Amino acid sequence: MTDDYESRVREAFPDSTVTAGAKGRLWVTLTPEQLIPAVGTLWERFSLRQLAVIVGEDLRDAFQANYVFTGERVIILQVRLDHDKPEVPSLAGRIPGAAVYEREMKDLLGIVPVGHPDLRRQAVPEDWPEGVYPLRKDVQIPRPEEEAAQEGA
Amino acid sequence: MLEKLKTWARVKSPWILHFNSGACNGCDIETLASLMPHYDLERFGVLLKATPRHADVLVCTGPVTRQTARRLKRIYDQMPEPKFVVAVGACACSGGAFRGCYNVLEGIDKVVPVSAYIPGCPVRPEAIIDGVAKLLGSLQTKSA
Amino acid sequence: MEESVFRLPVGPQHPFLKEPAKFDFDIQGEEIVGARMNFGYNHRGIEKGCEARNYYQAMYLLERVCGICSHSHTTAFVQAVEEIMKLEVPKRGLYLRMVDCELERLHSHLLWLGVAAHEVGFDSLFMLVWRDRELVMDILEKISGNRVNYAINTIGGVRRDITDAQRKEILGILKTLRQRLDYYAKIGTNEPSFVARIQGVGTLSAERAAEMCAVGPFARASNVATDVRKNDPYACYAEMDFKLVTSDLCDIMGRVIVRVYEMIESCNIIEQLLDTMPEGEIALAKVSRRVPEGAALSRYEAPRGEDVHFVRSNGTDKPERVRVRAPTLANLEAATESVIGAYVADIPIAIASIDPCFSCTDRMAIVLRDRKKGVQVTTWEDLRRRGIEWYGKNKGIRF
Repeated sequence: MTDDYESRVREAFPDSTVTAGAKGRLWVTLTPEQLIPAVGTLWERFSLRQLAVIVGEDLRDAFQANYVFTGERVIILQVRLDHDKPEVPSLAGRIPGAAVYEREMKDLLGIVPVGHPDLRRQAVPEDWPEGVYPLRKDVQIPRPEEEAAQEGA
Repeated sequence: MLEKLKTWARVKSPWILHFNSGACNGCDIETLASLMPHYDLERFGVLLKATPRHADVLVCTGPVTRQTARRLKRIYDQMPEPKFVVAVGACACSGGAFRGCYNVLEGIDKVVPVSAYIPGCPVRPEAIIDGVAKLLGSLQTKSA
Repeated sequence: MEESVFRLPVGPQHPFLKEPAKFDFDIQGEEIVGARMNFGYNHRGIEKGCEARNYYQAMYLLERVCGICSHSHTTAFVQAVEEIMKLEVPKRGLYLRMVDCELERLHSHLLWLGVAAHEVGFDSLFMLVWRDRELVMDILEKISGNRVNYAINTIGGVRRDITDAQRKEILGILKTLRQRLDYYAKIGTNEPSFVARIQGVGTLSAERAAEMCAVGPFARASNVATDVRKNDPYACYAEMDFKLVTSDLCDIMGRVIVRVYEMIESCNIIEQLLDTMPEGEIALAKVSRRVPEGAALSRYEAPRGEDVHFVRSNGTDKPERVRVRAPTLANLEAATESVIGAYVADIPIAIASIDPCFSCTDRMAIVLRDRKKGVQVTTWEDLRRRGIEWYGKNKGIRF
């Protein structure tokens, strides 16, 4: 049964690399353009719509957005993004539960969910400076003590 | 004479305001547990109040995130004199597990003066009772 | 790449109204017609903090993401690391981990039940439940050394074993707890004033719960059969005999029922674990400090719902990326929506019914916008008192 599910997934995503991980998890690589059709495929052919989380990563030479779908099995869609202009199509219109994770990815990593209906600040305070993405690898935010010391100097 | 009366009233039944400055809730739950029948801090006449204007003692947990720093200061300013602050937990004392994290000030004494530090991660209810009793004791000594 | 250093504004004075409002409601008289939420104030920088710590230090930090489900976070994290390192944890270690998992569920649900009672003014139930909660806290302290933050996990197993005497003692305490739980099941479904506050309030349909990807008891009370222990078992849950508790009530009463019956199932699981505990080691003897490159996704059924940890390693002793998706985040928007159509007096109990970190609610400002009467900013505590008074005056519900 395990193999059957995996082969069905490979069949459904012929242009992607599908890697089988521990616990039967399936990791599927996609380009940003393939994301929306892939989500449709997951729903139509695998009845998967429960999105557990979207994990954004700064891989230094690229960004990556990992979409974790859970159901009978766990399928993780990995979308590799351009480091200079990280953008993904927003899923919030199709899967309302995606909205919070897309906002968080935008606030903390600067990965923009294009077409998101409500991109208010969520993971950082309202007065957090624009353009400062704390989870980026090249961003160091000084601790308040260090800041005070710098100001005093 | 009035001073002694005020101290007596305060020592006999300090009213406390609880404030969480970004804590994980461990210390907050234990603070609440110490007010519950099992540990019963209320037998000292300690009452949990909802507004700073009625409070004698500010019981504060958490490492103080940048955002809560402003609120903490404001709450402290709203309390009438004489007032006391108790730092509950390792985070409130010195930042605890969150030392080095960029969004915390690492201890409530960075924002308001602290009268008593109660360490622990989280603080045991027994330690909270011990700390509060010591604070009350020191107030009594001062007034004598 | 050049490091960019940013200064963040820290001002000592800030007008109250400019503080981020955590919940923002549109009201018409006493009824809620719109709702939004915002949680930026709670940013502590934990995920970034993990990148600067080694895996054991990161585990210590993650334990303090939330003091109520601390074991959930360390277990979810350690499972991800063990997966990347391809470690096989000894069975006794897994059983001990699960004992703590279920004990945590017990203390957390009891805590919630007390807080829920408090939100509607039923303080005698609050006190009773928290008294019984101390039974569980005692067990946790006996077997781990601490009431909260048990630090029981290590990479490759657990750090403390239990003796046979402790085993028997726990079984004895569970017998007492079961009787109390039966009593709470009765109150949750029969005590008229309590039922009046929770029945038909904060409704979330099964379809909407699924669309919003809700998790945990909150989703299960809207008939969504999601429970990681059943859908995607970790540790040895696949070997345990227990029910996935759901309710089709879709309201706050459903959430009470689900949690109380889940506690009874937790007692069942703990008893099975203790009765069939295998002999052997509790942890792997030697575990490398460096974790080979890889990534793993770990799922765990915390008391509040599915906790997801994503860990990417880079061959060093420090993680490259740690993502923690606590269950409350998955439920917040659905919870905010479930309040629409309820009374302003219902706000505290409706939001509390998803079991959010209770202290987060302490710190927040709640904005009520009435098109006719204007904007009012209030605190959780004020709203709670108003709610109790309103129900007392208008519906005759008093405790």
